[in-house]
Amino acid sequence: MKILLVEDEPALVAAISRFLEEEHYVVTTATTYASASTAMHDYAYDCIVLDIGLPDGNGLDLIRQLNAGSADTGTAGLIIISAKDSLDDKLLGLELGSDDYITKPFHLPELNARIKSVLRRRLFGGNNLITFGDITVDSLSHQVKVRHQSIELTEKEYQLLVFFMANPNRLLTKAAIAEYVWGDYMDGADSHDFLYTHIKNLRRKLIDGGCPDYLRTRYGAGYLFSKTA
Amino acid sequence: MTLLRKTLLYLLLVMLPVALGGGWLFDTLIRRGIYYEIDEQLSSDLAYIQQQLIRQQVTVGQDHHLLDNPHIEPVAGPGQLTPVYSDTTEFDWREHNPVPVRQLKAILTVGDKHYLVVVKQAMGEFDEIARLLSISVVGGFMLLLGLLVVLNSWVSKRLWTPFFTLIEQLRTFRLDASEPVRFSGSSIAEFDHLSATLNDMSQNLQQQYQLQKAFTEHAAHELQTPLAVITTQLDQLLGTEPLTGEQVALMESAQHSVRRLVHLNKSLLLLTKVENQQFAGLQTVDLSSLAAQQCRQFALYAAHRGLDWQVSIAAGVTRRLNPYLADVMFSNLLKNAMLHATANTNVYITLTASSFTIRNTGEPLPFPEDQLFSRFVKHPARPDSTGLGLAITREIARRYDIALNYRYHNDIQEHVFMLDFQTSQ
Repeated sequence: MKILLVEDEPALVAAISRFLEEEHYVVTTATTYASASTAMHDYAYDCIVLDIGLPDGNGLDLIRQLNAGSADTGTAGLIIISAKDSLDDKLLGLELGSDDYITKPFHLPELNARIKSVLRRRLFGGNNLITFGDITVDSLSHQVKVRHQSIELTEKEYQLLVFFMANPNRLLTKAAIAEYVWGDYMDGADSHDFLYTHIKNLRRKLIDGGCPDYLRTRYGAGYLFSKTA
Repeated sequence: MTLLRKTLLYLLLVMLPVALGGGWLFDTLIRRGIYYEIDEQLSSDLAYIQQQLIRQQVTVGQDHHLLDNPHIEPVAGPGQLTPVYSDTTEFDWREHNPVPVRQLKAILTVGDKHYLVVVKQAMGEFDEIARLLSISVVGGFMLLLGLLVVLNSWVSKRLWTPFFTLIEQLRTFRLDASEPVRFSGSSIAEFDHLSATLNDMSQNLQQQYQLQKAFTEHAAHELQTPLAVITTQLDQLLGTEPLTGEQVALMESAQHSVRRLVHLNKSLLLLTKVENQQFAGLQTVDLSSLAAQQCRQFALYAAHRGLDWQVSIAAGVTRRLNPYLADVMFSNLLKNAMLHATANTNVYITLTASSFTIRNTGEPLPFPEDQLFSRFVKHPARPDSTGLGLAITREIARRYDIALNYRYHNDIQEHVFMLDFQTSQ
């Protein structure tokens, strides 16, 4: 899987590309509009992660270029990163054909989950099934099965599960999880306790469905979704 | 009092003493002039009589004229009498009243005879002439001045028109207006100068204001990047092994603080943008479905806190708002109730055609009520909150002329927040 990361902040480039490489993606980076434009034309990517606030040009123009340009990049998934939490930008970005929009700052596991979701939609059109151990999730119908047995999850529990499955064997903090599941809505709320309740319910439902306990707390402050103890 | 009226008033005030003093002065001068001329006439009459006496053409002691004028009477000796002018009155038989008379008394010596000669001139007519002249001059003066005042007020009104236009433009001047005001020029150099100065000033202000706005926005955006770096690097750090529980707890705590900072930053940015009216895009927003959707959104957390959401939403309530701001306005109020309501109590959420009301039970405010909607005023028990939520709600409500009211019922310990739509549209 080839990913083009367009981002002008070196520290972010380093952190994101390192994270994605750990996820076994092949990452190409571009830090300017010009280099991004060149990189887009030179190779075909499976997914482009694009910061639209570039020093030498508007990233939205890159998308227009992408749409108008070669067929090679036509199938690439596109995720916009923006420092602006602006509805207009978001709508315009999605209108121009981006698959997702994420506002700075974001957690790397969240970006990871979104990339996976985009790739699934773009590349494996027919196959919406995500599997982890005994759990199978249909990302279209939001149906969850444990050993071919359906279990009923609430919307939030489903989101939690997908987030965990996108980031297996990775330490996830409550802050990162809460932000992915609730976004801005729970800002200022004492949501950790609330999160704990949801995770506890999810775990209970999975175990009740006959699933091994993949979810474990680590170091008191984080969670790990893993097949090995 | 307008400048014009003040000018006219001063003019009138000055006019009165000038008219009175001027009248008196004029009268005196005319009188003096008349006396001088009369005295000259009398002395030339005296000289004429002397000549006639020399030529023996007058009969002494006989009344020649009315008023016994001239009066010539032989006297014994030359005496010491030098010619004397004096004022007196004599009875006018025709007018049946005494009239003022000017007379010249002198002793003339012709050959060896001496005569006492008195020549007179009735003054009544001259006095009247003097008075008439003075009055007409003063009257003329007043009339001219009155005309001047009228003319002045008319001219002034015309001259000051550009000034009043400028004032009217200044009155409508708004720093945050999208279109900068252009102060109109004038054919009068001073006002043209004023208008040019105002234009410079407003342009300067507008520029400063734009810079300020841009600064706030840029500052907030610039902050986002380092915050993003911190967030991702903390995530990276969490990916390293081995870690101790203490390290993870510290990172988690740091993430939490970063999150707070991000939220604070976003809220400040939002507040600035609302204040700067950077949210145009009025749409008809279905408040009923918005409120219902948000109640659902918070219902889980409310249930978690043991709050009983008592929702009553009238259908089809719409208002023209920016949809994003409408969302923020409602959700901040709901969030506020959700966070501050006493656990295991009822929260009443009511939307009617004219208002949106949230009632929740809770302790009285720990700060004065008028600070409730101020920025960074927080409940001491919740230092984690930004203290901006209600400030943002009030700012948004204000933008759309919606009244945001707050009441506290002491007896039942109930906080009531109400958005009153009736003041708008």
